Amino acid sequence: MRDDAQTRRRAELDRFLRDTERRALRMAQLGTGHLDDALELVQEAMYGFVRHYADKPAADWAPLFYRVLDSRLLDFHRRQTVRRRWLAIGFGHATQAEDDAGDPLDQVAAPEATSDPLQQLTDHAAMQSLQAALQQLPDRQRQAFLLRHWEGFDGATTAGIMGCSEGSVKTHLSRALTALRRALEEHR
Amino acid sequence: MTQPDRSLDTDRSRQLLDDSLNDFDAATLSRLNQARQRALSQLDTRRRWAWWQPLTGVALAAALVIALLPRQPQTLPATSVSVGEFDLALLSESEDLELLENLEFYAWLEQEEDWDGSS
Repeated sequence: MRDDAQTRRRAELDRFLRDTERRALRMAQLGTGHLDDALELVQEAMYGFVRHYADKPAADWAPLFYRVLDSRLLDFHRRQTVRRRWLAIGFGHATQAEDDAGDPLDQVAAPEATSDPLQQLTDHAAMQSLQAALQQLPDRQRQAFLLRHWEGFDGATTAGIMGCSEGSVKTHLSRALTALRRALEEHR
Repeated sequence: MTQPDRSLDTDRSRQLLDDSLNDFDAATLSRLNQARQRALSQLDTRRRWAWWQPLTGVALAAALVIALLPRQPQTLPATSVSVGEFDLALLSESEDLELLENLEFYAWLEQEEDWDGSS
């Protein structure tokens, strides 16, 4: 009887993770800029999620999973910041050169000018533009945009996932939308 | 009313992000699958441990009880007559044993005497 319940729960978790993993990977990839790093973070998030929250009600799984992933992304960015600082001490001019390497958006093929941002672009070019614009956003702004507009979480849930106030989410989101509009306008 | 030109079409961006989920190659999807299975394998380990946990608990409790029991003296309580002594007494009472073995004869003898007396 108990075994049945555990088997059922395992199957539900498997289904949930299967439905979520690609979205999580895309989110992590936009956050890290590298597929391998993103895969590692998603793997850690899955592991941590199952370890700590498998017994929680299924309705709570999505926010809890993204909370774990968001936390892993924050850790990743902290580590990157520390690494960059050390590199700046050791190879000051090299990182300067890296900073001056140019805007990644410049490498995205500019679509023909049309009246609506994104709307008239081909899907491939539009996705490239959107992806590049999202990667350029500060981490908190990008997460606020993805969680609110892509995942469809409400303000309170997004705030819970990001570990900040609802007001902060609104601020991050507003800045993200402004930055995205500007970036996508430039690349029409 | 039409949307202003400078607005960001969030529906479109959502659609683009959704579509991009089909761009992952087979190797990436396989690694995702492995990561998922690895995460879920924790549940199996937990289940196995849940099965052994009560048994381990009982075994530990039993070991604790045995360890904490006051030590009893190894000598057996003395009995009034030991089995060996009883057997020896039986063997030494040879007369009684003879009587038991010839009980039928003595019964017949008694009958004969009664008959002689009465006749």
